[in-house]
Amino acid sequence: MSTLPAAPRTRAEQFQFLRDAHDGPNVWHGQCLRLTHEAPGIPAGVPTALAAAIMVPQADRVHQVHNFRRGMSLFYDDPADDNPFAHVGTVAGWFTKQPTGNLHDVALWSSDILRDGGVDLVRADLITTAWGDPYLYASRSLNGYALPGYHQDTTKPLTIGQNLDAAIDAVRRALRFHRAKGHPLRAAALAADLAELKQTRAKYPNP
Amino acid sequence: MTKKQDPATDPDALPPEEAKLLDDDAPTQPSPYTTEDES
Repeated sequence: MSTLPAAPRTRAEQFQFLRDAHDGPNVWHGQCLRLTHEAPGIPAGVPTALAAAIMVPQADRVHQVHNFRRGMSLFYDDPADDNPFAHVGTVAGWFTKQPTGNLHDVALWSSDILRDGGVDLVRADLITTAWGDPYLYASRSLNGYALPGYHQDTTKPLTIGQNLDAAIDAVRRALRFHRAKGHPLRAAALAADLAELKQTRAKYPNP
Repeated sequence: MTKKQDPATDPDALPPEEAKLLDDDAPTQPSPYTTEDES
């Protein structure tokens, strides 16, 4: 599960979008990331699939094939080649009754692989055999949003003390950053905020 | 005794309408995500 905010659409809507794209015109040439984030309604975040892969938090990365699940994004890239873009598709599930650990048994929605600009359902190892790019990992989040079905509800209200502690921590980290960068005005303002937050925190017993 | 998973509610199962779309014999396209040296 991901602690990031939930994608706007449901998993059913995510896959309906992909099926509609399959039935629609071939307009997805070179648009693998856009297809993958628009299906669950996630806003654009970064320009390439490679950047999208890099920004996936470690906790949301899934490295073992047998743990790939429907709705995850699946990234491909060969770090040894000069391809600066990488590729991403959406895991549709398993062709087998149970996960096998074999990428050949994973179903993947991908643009461009069978039809230039088209969207098709293929075996996930086809990207590797056809284009030469091994998979990097699957992910439970994309562009800073949890993919449908992978959102962990963390909306449990915080106590006043916990909220203040979180604010103090964030301001302290920002203060360190701006001091290190040589921004005296920002650092002074943040130092004042930090002092005020600490005074307020002292009025509340733990937690 | 374990409860049998209903395939219709298995969140990882591939729905029939998607499984039938697979075409292993379809020709693949050149990748648009690779740079090509045309010199």
